[in-house]
Amino acid sequence: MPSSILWLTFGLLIQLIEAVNFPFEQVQLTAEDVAINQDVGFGNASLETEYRGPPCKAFPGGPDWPTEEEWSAVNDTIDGVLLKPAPLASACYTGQSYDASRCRYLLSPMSGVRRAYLDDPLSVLTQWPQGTTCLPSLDPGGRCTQGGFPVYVANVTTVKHIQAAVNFARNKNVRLVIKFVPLVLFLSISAPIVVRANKQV
Amino acid sequence: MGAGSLSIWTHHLKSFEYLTNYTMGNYTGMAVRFGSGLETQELFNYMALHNITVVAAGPGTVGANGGWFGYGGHGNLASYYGLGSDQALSLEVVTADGRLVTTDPFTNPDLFYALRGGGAGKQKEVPTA
Repeated sequence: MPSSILWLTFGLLIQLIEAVNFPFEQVQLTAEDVAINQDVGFGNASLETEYRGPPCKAFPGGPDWPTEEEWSAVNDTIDGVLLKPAPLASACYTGQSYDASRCRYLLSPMSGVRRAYLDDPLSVLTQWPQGTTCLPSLDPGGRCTQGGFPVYVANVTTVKHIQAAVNFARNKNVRLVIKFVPLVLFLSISAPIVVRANKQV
Repeated sequence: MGAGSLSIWTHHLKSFEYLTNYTMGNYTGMAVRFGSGLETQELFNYMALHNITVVAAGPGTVGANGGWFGYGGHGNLASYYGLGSDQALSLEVVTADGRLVTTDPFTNPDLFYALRGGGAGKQKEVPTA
């Protein structure tokens, strides 16, 4: 038996004596939540040792991409913290997000602009790992697409939100990424991870 | 890298607590615990407030745990105190099956080992260190 399975077994036992540090950790996904929305059901680490799911992840526009209703339901489960953001620089392009003053700000040399990207739900420090598909520009007729940016973002404030997002992505075969800012710039990618209960990558 | 994905954004998990007396195995002494949205510059401010030193990354906008020590955790004090991944006493993580679990040298020790240098984003979500 692989050691990864062993610790997961431990993990299930540990649930009984879980240590909780902060208030946000005390808010956890419950059986009642799962009864209302089965898409956020927990995985069972002890059932399978080999992955038997689909070979590819669901993709927007594809047949297995969750429906609007399913996204809306998971948004209800996580207290409405699900975001569907447009890229930050979409303010520079013709469309719903167009905002000339916001665009001028993004093009300005002020140091605060960097902070705007750090506080943006989609962006990491550089654009190129995400496809460079929406750069700030003076040409509103240019092209700005979602590119490598995530489609949905769970703006988590409790452990319950994290658990529901992980479970939904696993159950619905959706790619899951976690935004982080590590020390080395070239690692500032939102690393895609494989989510499945029985295999610890 | 995130095309067609759902992203978990921990930016607002900024809880922090300074523990004057914490015991884990052979270690007894000062410790801090904080949420995975805390940035290093915010950790600097807490260091000043409590007059303590926490081994941390150099650049202030780097996330103070998770991705940083997931790759080892280099910083200005590494030659003196070791890497960031050497400092962790206990980690709370959400595993791929959706459970919140504690990892430390005695509880889920192999996951605790993997989280400290196994590569960021490879294992699980880390709500608190």
